Amino acid sequence: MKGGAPPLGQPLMAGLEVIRVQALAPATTLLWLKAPEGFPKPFPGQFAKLRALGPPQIPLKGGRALLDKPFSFHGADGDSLAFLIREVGTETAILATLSPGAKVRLTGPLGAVRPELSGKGPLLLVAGGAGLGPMGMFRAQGFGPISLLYGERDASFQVGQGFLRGLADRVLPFTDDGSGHGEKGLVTQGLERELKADGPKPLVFCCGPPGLLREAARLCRERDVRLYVSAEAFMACGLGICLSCSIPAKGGGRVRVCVDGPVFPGDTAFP
Amino acid sequence: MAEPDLSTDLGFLTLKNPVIAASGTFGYGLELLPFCPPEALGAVIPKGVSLAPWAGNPGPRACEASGGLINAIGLENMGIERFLTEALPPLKARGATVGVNVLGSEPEDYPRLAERIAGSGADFIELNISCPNLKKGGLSFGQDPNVAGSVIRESVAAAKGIPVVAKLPPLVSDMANLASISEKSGASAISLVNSVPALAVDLATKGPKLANVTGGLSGPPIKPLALRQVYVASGAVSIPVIGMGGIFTAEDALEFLLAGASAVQVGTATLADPRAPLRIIQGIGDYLRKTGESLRDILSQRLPKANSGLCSGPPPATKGTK
Ligand SMILES: Cc1cc2nc3c(=O)[nH]c(=O)nc-3n(C[C@H](O)[C@H](O)[C@H](O)COP(=O)(O)OP(=O)(O)OC[C@H]3O[C@@H](n4cnc5c(N)ncnc54)[C@H](O)[C@@H]3O)c2cc1C
Ligand SMILES: Cc1cc2nc3c(=O)[nH]c(=O)nc-3n(C[C@H](O)[C@H](O)[C@H](O)COP(=O)(O)O)c2cc1C
Ligand code: FES
Repeated sequence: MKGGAPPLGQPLMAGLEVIRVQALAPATTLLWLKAPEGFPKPFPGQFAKLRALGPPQIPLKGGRALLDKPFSFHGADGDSLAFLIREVGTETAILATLSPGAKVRLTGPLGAVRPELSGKGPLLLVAGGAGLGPMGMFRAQGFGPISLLYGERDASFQVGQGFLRGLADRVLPFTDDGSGHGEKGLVTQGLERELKADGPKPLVFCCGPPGLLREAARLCRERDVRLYVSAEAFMACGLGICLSCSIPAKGGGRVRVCVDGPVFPGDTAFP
Repeated sequence: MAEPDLSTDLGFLTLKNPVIAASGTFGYGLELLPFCPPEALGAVIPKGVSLAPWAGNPGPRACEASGGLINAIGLENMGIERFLTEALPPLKARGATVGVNVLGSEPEDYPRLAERIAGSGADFIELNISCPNLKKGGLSFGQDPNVAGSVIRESVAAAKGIPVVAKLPPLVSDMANLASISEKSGASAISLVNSVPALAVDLATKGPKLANVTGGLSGPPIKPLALRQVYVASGAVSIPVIGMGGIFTAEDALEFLLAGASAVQVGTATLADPRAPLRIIQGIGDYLRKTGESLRDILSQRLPKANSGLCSGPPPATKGTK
């Protein structure tokens, strides 16, 4: 960011033990790792690079990835760190099939600390698919009430209501085709409706595919609502050294999604 | 047992160990302080800089492919002026040995950059005449030995005594010739290889994976190619050769030293593991302790002379047959 990047925590790199694995949906798993002693408390939107160590328990079509993959912190309660893993390829599939006792290499916490993501008042979380990843981090930040808009393509991807209710006071799920619980349609329809409703303006945090972030930015700009988005870019290093994640910044210049973000004010990420 | 001496003499500079952080994979040098302090390495080469800042390519800028990394960052950088005032002084203040990697869009840019760096406190200049991403002028400068020679000659003259290292591309028609021209043009050393021109296709979108379409391949898949080029180049010159391409372990680094390199650079490995350069230094020490050799012993060994081509030529005519 121009005028000095937000502060970074002191990241650690360590082999951590898997302590719990919870299937949330056929392709979505919650992975709990034992936190190392003195692990810095991650902020909402911060992430870690993960890599399953040891031989994979599933047959591979090709080789293992070269690079450790980025995942948002879903939860951190002192003793444990949680990540929500959506299976899309080799490394996510390997992470999703780990058993307790297996080891995962973690580098983190990475990404900028955003003090704006802790505070009082209403918070509106908007998640598309694996964008549910960071949404577990907000319960401990002081906000209230918290509403969660959560969209998936169809029922087969959808995470159960019981789990979702743990993340927010009010949960509004959507599926594109109406096959799941909640409403039929796009999560952005829900966002538009929420922003039109009476009452104090919420702070909005959105994570999901680029199309969703862009539409959320448009809707929030129209109504003058404060928005933060978790941007995505391919990250080779996650540490600010390779510029593979660099994107144009508002008003010129560039930002690195991995160290200046991944959370940006909604208008910065889409100049 | 005493700690093995890992220093390596490049003639123009003695490095405390033979491991250098490669340009573009170590930021501007201080980003990895929690993992890899720059002064612990033989040297660091920050991201390549040009006369004015460059924005680089649109994204996606990188992807994994066949166990390697393809990148088309497009040489985004802060420009030489900011580099010299903001990035170089803190690195030097920590006691790091620093090579400044420079790149231009015109041959004339290189001597102008060298002139700016003269007197800045940099330990050497590395001319990136090999980046496959340069659009202007099509091929890289290093592809044409005559252009390469004049870029090196003029940069050496402008650098006013700061040693100049020419960084060579991996794919040239005659590596021995390019290496030899670099030496004759006044380079204090050559470094090779830069990333290898490459393409990744996305079957899901039936398009390229990178916005720039093509990029440069680095990492494990290029190691055998890089070893061969280091071997050929080092056989053609008497200046030191700095080898790189897919070095992930101490064993990889030692192989490059045996193939003719006097030092190595570590690139993609640092992206995969920010402690990689330190791990490699440690591993070289462990290896030498185990075998009882010195680094000098390794550096003085030579591989046998190769056959001239990839195949050994037609079978010799056999006497007594028609
Ligand atoms: C800051 C950040 C936070 C993230 N947080 C989470 C999270 O909490 N939970 C989660 O499930 N995922 C998250 N991701 C995405 C996750 O990193 C990728 O899904 C993972 O790297 C894929 O690895 P793979 O080896 O399984 O897939 P690959 O074999 O690498 O790829 C499989 C397919 O997925 C696509 N893909 C790969 N990486 C990405 C990506 N970054 N974005 C979109 N598509 C991709 C590829 O193009 C390919 O089509 C996050 C990404 C970033 C940058
Ligand atoms: C992301 C990335 C950026 C790079 N940027 C530069 C650069 O600015 N200048 C340069 O001379 N080489 C650059 N390189 C090439 C590396 O310095 C090195 O020559 C190459 O990657 C091969 O070594 P490796 O396999 O150890 O990575 C870059 C490589 C990568 C992966
Ligand atoms: S991923 Fe390397 S700089 Fe952001």
